[in-house]
Amino acid sequence: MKPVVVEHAIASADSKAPLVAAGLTRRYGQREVLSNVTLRLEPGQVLGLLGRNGAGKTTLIQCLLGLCAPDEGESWLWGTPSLALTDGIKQRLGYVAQTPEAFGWMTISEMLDFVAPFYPQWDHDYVRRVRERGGISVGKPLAKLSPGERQQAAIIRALAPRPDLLVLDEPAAALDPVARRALLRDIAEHAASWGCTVLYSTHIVSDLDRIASHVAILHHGKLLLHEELDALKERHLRLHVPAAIAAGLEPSLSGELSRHRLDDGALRLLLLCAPEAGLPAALDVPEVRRETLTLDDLFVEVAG
Amino acid sequence: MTAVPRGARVLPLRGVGVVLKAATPWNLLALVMLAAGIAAATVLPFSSSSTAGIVAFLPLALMLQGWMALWQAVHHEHVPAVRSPLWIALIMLLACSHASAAALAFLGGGDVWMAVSVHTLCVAVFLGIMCSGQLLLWVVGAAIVYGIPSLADRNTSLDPLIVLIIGTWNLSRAVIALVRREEWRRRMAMSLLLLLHAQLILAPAWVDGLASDSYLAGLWSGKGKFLLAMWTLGSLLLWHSLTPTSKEPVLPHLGWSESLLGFRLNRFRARHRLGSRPDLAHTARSRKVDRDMTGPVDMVPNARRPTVAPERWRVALLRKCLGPPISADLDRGTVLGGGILMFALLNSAQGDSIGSWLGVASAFLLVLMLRLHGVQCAVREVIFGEPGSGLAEIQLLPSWRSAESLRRLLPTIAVRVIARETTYGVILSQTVALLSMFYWNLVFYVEFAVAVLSYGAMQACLALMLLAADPSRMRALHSFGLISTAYSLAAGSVSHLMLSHAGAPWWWLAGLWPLLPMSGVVVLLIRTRRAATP
Repeated sequence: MKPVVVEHAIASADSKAPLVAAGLTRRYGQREVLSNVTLRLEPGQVLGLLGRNGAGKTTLIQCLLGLCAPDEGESWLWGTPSLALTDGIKQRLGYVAQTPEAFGWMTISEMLDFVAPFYPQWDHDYVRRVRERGGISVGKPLAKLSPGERQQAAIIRALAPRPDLLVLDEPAAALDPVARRALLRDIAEHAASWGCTVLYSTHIVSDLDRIASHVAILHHGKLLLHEELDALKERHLRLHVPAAIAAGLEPSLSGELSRHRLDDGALRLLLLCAPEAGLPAALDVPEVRRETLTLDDLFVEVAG
Repeated sequence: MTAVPRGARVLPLRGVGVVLKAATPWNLLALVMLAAGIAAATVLPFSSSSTAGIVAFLPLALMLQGWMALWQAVHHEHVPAVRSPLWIALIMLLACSHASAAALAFLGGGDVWMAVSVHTLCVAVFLGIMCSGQLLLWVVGAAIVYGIPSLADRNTSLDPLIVLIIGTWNLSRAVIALVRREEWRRRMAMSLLLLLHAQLILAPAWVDGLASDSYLAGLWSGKGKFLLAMWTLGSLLLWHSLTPTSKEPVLPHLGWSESLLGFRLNRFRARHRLGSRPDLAHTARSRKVDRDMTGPVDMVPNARRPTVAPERWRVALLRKCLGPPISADLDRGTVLGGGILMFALLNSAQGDSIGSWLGVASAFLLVLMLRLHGVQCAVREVIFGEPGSGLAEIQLLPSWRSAESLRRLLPTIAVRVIARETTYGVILSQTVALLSMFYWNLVFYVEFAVAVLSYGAMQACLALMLLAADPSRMRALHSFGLISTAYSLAAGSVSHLMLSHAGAPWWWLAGLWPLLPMSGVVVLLIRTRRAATP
């Protein structure tokens, strides 16, 4: 597949933007896990960060939150460098780790009681509602809960402070479908009610279809796409070009993202094109079958 | 969709079945061996009290293993049957069997050394249970148990053997801790463990053989054959218990085995997820997983460890000070092994006052180092959960290093420190007291008894203060600390009285030792059960 050109806003420190990253590069030994990632989240955005296993999603989130230092580049939360977050910034931040493991010796109640005083906007009603909803063993230490229950506890801990920025690192990985729906509903409610900005890392594409306003695709440490979800779907087209027409096509078309030649000589093209611009003349014929991509299709095409 | 790997045999054990599976075989075997011990004591000619003690100790050692398995079953909360009346009945059965075996040893021996041996055994039992099956402490206890009869006969040839065993074990543990990422090394560790197990059990026969200038003669005597048969049986059982019967950790005795090896295999697996389980990894890769469902593919780990940013030097420093788990293993092994070795070497200068004082000094140093180690472990557990994990989540909490945060964490840290320190304090004070009693004179023993009393009183005060401060945190661990304290107090006082008045009409009260740890365990179980009940 050809490299995809990503157009995005220029990132810079900005006290209004909840999260900004510029040129983040991170290496483990010789291996480059993140490669010059630039990203900017505007207030109220729900950004779905998609990527295959090992794409670098967790590392990117850790760099964004200052949990690990990038080899190059920098990131800011509301204009504050991630590596020097103040308590005030942390109070506006909710984070769910991929495998929550902290406070394993506490029960959920003890953990929430311990954490709540650190946050001035702690939403006791939300905690009560979630606990009434049930599904979590409240009497057991966190370390002895199932991974799904631990994940739910971490989600409660992240949402209860009514954060302005919510960062979730594959939060649904261990959740059952019911709990996952509830999580998505909670996130949507939080985002809608007070404009919480969300960074949601996952490889479960269907989740993003429900809540994301924007989508970014990370592949081999590179940010391949970062765009509004609806626009993304509109601008990407998959074309099935018959062999007769394919033979006369140029080797590289404007906006072409990928090109797969099938056994019978036909082509499958992935094009990035503005809706108003239309297709190139050679392809704007009835024999060429057009197909609108779902997010799932797009992810497979880009990162497959 | 479940993530059970193909070929995995998930045993349909539930409730009481799990308890029985975990505990009963060991204790049934112990009862059988107890009967065998009685028969052997009746039939075989014994030349000294030590041999009678050995016969009595074997079933007791197995009972210890049964207790440990049972403890693990409760400790890891695999067992919903904790709430059932049968559970309590089982506890009482075990307690009775334990008490009867101890009484046999006491009455059969009929002298002060036997009483001391029983006392020591109970310390080992107590510690074995309380330390959740940590082999190091078990080995120390067992070494003393097996060694004391010979020491009582002033046959000191066992002394270097004990040191050798403990030193070898510590070394092997350190090596294993470093290279334990592969399954075959775990197997190697099991073999090594069996070897040491054999050494321990065969040691008395060896000593008897040495006494008669022929190891083989000692080994092939009636007593030696009996020991050999017991060792073979014990080894087979040990091997069985160490060999996982299922891919999933559904059996409590598997957890116990892991603890026995010091591996914490569950955590190891959790840390490496599928990486350490090629069968499951293969299953995950080959299985078509609905992306909308939670499936094994979601569990593929990110094995990389986050690196702490340089700016977070305080966190980095704290983490560095606390150390990774491997260094903790090394610390513990090195400190205890080195301390005991040093102690034994210094003991070689018997009668030499300088050597004696150096021995005492080294013992105190050992206590100090282990206390620091206890604090280190407790802080690491409390703040980070499992070492190295949870750090990111905690780092992002506002004010987690604030005075308020520490004030709220302190009770838990303190309780854990008490629990650990009391345990180490008991074993060290008892070990040092007994060794000093054998090698020097009763003065040292009395001093240690006083030290134990002081230590116990201090722990009791702390525990009570914590209990008053925050009752909600006083769960099983708190009982643990209090029971340890009570035992520590009793051990010091009764031992002192017993040895000061050996031969007096009432000194048989020492035979009631087993009741203390037993009652402690029962109380602990009840507290744990209550704590686990929502």
